[in-house]
Amino acid sequence: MNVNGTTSQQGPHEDLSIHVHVADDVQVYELSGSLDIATSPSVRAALVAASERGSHRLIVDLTLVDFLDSTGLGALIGAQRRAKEFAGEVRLVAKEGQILRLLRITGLLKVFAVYPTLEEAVKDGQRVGDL
Amino acid sequence: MSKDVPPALAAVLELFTAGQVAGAAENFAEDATYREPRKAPIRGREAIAAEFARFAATGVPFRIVVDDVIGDGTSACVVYRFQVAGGEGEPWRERAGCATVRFDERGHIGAWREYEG
Repeated sequence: MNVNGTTSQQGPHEDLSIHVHVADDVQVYELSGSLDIATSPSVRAALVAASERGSHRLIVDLTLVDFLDSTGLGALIGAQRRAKEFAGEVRLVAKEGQILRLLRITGLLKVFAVYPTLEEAVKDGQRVGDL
Repeated sequence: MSKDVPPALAAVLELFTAGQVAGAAENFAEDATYREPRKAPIRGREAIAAEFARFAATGVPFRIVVDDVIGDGTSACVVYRFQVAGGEGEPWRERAGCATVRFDERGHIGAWREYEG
């Protein structure tokens, strides 16, 4: 992490980048690219590391994710399960489109609080399901 | 596994992870729906039991590895890997997926929907 409190990771697969920053004391994992069988281990490892550091309130920003498969969903669900064990929460940010449609179809709007923007997620504002 | 996993789902997962389907349908509600990827939904406990029996009759060894379960008592999400035996001497083939599960007021599984891909 650099002096600005942000860090970026490019996993072994260049199809996904993880940019971590802090907003209002909440760690934000901003993902960009494809979250799939090749890249989900990197995301899972980053989210497990956050949990091990005691960070149980996280935001995962999927705004720049262009593909999400079942292994990617598994990485997010695992993070939510770990967070809930410590009375924490993983909030998601997803704009209207393929990713949000997938979250709806799979019923995961009941598992995650999903917000249309990072600002709404940080302040626990209007959720996608409320719109 | 989340502590909020109703017994019906725990029972089904115990069977599936052991590579068994016999008895699993008993944990579904009478009017339950069961949806696998790329297949038409199956409606009703009897039809689900028949589908499980049909699969068991194929004799293909299978097992499900459950990586995560999260639930709130009324619904749950299961992250799994479905593995089937390859040919003799060949490795097991694996598909990753997740299933969203909803429960009825009696705790039976009312809806099971899988997503793979």
